[in-house]
Amino acid sequence: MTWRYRLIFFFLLLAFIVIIIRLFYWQVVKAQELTELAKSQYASAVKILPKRGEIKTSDGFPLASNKISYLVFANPKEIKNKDETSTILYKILKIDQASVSAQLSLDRFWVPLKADIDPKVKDEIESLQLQGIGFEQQFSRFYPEASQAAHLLGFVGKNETGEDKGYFGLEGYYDRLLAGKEEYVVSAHDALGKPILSQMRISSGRTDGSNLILTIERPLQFLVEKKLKRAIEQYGAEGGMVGIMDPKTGSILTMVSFPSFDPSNWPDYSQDLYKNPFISDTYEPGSTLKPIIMASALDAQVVLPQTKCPICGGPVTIGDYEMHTWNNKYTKDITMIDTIVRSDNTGMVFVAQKLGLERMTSYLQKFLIWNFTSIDLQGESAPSQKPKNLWYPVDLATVGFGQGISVTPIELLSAFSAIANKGRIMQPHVVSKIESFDGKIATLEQKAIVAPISEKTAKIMTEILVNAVDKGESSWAKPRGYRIAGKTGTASIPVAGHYDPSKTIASFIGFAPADDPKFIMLVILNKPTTSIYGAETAAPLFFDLARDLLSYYGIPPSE
Amino acid sequence: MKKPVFFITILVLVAISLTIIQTVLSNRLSTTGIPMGEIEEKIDSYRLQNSILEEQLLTVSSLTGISERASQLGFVEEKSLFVMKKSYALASKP
Repeated sequence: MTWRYRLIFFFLLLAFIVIIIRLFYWQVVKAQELTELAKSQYASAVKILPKRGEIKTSDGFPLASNKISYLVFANPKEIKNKDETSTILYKILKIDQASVSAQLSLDRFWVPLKADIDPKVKDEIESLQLQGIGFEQQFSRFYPEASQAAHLLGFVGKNETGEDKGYFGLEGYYDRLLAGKEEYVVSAHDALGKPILSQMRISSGRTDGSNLILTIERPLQFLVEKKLKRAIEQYGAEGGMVGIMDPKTGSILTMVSFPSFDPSNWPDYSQDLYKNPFISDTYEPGSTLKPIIMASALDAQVVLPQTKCPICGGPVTIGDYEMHTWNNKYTKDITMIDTIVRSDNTGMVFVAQKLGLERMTSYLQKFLIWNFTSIDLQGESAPSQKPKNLWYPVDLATVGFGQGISVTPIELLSAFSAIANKGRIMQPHVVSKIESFDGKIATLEQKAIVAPISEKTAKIMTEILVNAVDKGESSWAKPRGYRIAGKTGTASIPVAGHYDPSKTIASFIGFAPADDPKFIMLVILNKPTTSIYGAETAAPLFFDLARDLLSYYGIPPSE
Repeated sequence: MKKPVFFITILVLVAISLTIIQTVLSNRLSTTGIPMGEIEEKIDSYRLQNSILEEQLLTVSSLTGISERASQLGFVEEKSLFVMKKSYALASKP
C-alpha cells in the first residue's frame, strides 16, 4: 500500500511543479507583454493639441483667433466600395476626385483626406454614415476682421513635421509663445469604451498658447486701411503704406500696406506679398530725410536756423553732376528755415557739406539709419552703410536731400520720432502685453534706445517743420486750427543706374499736435499717376488721416 | 490567552469588512463610466457650440462686419466735424 501512496504523491507533486512552472512563465516571463496587451485594450494615449494664443488689439478684440475644425481621414482597409465613397466625398469636400481616390487606394490604416473643414461639413459627412471615414478635431486660425492688418499678423502654415508654425509678422516673431505645449493623456476605459473613474488619468500637462495684446488701435487700423485703399485708387498709385506711432512710447498705433493678402487663404497669394513692406522694403526717402539732416546740422551747431546759404543762387555743380531744386527756382542766401519750407535741394547740399561725411554718417547712425529698429515683427531688414572709402563728394550732397541712400519706412518713422519726442527715439513695438494661458499678464517694457539730438534741437526743428506745413506746398490741405509739424517727400526711383523721370515715391511724414505730439505718421504712395508730387497726393491723405486722429483722440484746435 | 484571540478576531472582522466595502464600491464605480462618458460628450458638444457661437459673435461685432451692415442700412460717413471749444449753457435765467 505504501508504494501507492508514494506514487500518487509523486504525480500530485509533478502536477504542482508543472503548474508552478507555467505560472512562472505567464506571470514573470510573459508579464511585460501581457501588461502591454491589457493596457492596449483598456488604456489609450491621446495627443491633445494646444490652442494657439490669440492676437488682440488694444481694446481686447482678437484680430487672430481660433475656431474648431476637423481633419477628415479614412481607413482604406475598412472601405469596401472605394469608388462610391470617393464620388460622395469629393463633392462635399470640394477637392479633386482623383486625389480622394488615390488616398483611398493606399494600403494603409489611416490616410488624411482634407484638413480645416467646417463643423457643418463634418456633420453632413457624418450623417451619411460612411464606413471607414473618421474625424479628428483641430483648431484652425480664424480672422474676425478678415484681411485687416494681414502684414502685421503674418499667417500660420505648417513646418516640416506638419505642425502649425507662424510665418512673418507677429505669428512668426512670437511663434513659440503663441504655440503653447501639446499634451499626452493616458486614460483607462472599459469594454464599451466608457471611461473608468477609478483608474488614474495621466496627463503630461498641456499649456495653451499665450495671447498677445497689441498697441494697435482697432478703429484707427480700420479707418486707415479704408482711406489708404481709397487714396491708392484716387491717385492711381501701385500701392501705399501708412505707419502711425506714439513717439513718446514707441507704440505702433497702426500699420497698413497695400497690396496685401488674406491670411486665412495665404497659399492663394504670391509669396512677394507676405512680407511687410513697411519693415522689409527699402526706398530712397527724398525730402522726408531733409529734417533729419537739418536736425543733425543744428545739433552739431554747424548751422543755425537763420544761417544763409551762399551757394543757393543757382544749381550746385559737384564734379560732373549738377544739383537742381525740384522746381528749378533758386533763392540766393536762403535761410535754413526756408530751405525746409521750400524743400530746397541746393540748401541741403550746403548743409551736408557743412556737416561733412564723418559727422553726417555718425548722426545718421545715431538716428538708427542703416540699423535694425528691432521692432517685434518677423522680416525686418536694414540696408547697410556704404563703406566710407566708397563715398564721393556727390554722394554726400545727394544724401543731403535724401537720394542715394536707402531706408525702410520704419527706420524713417523711428528716426523722425526723435524730433517729436524731445530728441529721444523709443523702441518701436507692436505688442504691449502678453497674457499667459493661466491669465497672468506681463507688460512689456517701453524703452528709449538712443537720443541722437538734444531737446533744444528737437524743439527748434519742430518749429521749422510747423512753419514748413503752414507755408509749404501742402498748406492748403492742413486742418485749420492745429499746429502740425511735417515734411513732404517726392523721391525719384533708381532704375538701372539712373532715376526714372516719370515715376516717384510720394510721401509725407509729420506729427501732431506739434507742442505735445500724440502721434507721428508716415504716409507713402508708390508711383502715383495723377500727380508725382507728395504735396498733391501723400500730403492730402496725411492731413485727412490727421484730422480723424485728432478727432479720435479728442484734441481740440489750439489756434 | 483570551486577549490575543480577541484582537485577532477583531482584525479578521475588519479585514473582511474592508474587503466587502471595497467590493461594493468598486462595483458601483465600474458602472460610472457610462454617465461619465455621457458627461464628457456633453462637455465636448458645449465646447463646440461655444466655439461656433464665439466665431459668429466675433464676425458680427468686427468693424468690418459692422461697416458692411451700416452701409446696407444706409449710414453714410460724416463729411465735416463741428468742434465746440468751450462749454455752452443749455438754459439760463432771464
